Amino acid sequence: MSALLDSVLATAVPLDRALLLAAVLFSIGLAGVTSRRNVLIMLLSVEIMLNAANLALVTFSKVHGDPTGQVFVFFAMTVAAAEVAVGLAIVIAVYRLRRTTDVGEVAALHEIDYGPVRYPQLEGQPVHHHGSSGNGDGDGDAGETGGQPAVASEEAHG
Amino acid sequence: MTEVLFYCFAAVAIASAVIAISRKNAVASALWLVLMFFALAGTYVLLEAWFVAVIQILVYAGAIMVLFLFVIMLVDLKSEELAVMGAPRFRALGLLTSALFLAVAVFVVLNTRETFVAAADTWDRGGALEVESGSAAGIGHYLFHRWVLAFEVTSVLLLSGMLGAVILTKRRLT
Repeated sequence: MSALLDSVLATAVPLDRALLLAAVLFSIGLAGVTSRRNVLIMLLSVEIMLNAANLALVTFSKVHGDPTGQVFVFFAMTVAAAEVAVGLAIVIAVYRLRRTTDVGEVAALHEIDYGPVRYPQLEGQPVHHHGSSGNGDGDGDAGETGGQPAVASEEAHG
Repeated sequence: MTEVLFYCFAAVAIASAVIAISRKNAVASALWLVLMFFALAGTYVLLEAWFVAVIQILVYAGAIMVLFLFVIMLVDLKSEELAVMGAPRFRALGLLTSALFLAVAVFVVLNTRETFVAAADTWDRGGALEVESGSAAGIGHYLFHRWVLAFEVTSVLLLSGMLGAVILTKRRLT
């Protein structure tokens, strides 16, 4: 297997062709970002563009005989992973709010009437909080919606 | 032999990328993109970047694509919604932009190809690039000596990305 790999790698890859491949892949990704309207497909196209940049970095690493380009590919993959995680979280949040992933429909930052909207509530805000100590009846935690006041009510009860 | 393999991988990568950005179904797009990641990993092997090739398959085809597939299946897209491309005018503008970029990039590469051919000849005669430099040991040596600060900052970046993803998708911040 190693001898086979050595014989395969005996001749060099045409490095300018590798750079041309990177350019073509980047253009395909750019076309995907600019011509599709679904934000998931746009994120996939961004991934294609990042991969084209990685291929160019590996090719230049080979040209200069310096592994720093491959180290940069490592960092670029880390940044891409973080970017995908945050981007997909934003897609989930927008989809939960607007029920769509079309970028043409979420272009407005102001609020359009898309029906009931659930905003995240912070812990300190008294939303449904009606006094756990004064809540004397047996099943008092039926009206509580959050986890924290229900626990406090049960502790006061027991 | 290497050239033939390189052209095969390049053809597979370009074809699967074109198919991936033109599918109506987002799941099909993601799976075609997995094929493109594998073809690029084969290209990395031909360029003697073995560690990058393995990381490409593990991180991209393994982790990032699984995340994509989970989200695509979570948001429950209708195929007619996915079929919508951009408005025709903007779509033509986008394709024109990418074609212009491709022309400029190909022009630059073809005008500087003598440099690369000379460098490849140098490497063929014996060695600007060490044999072990693409392996995990070679990359690790560089990563933990010269680029150790960037490596540590990367952990902060991953932590902030993780926190951002969790906070953005939580319904209640309690």
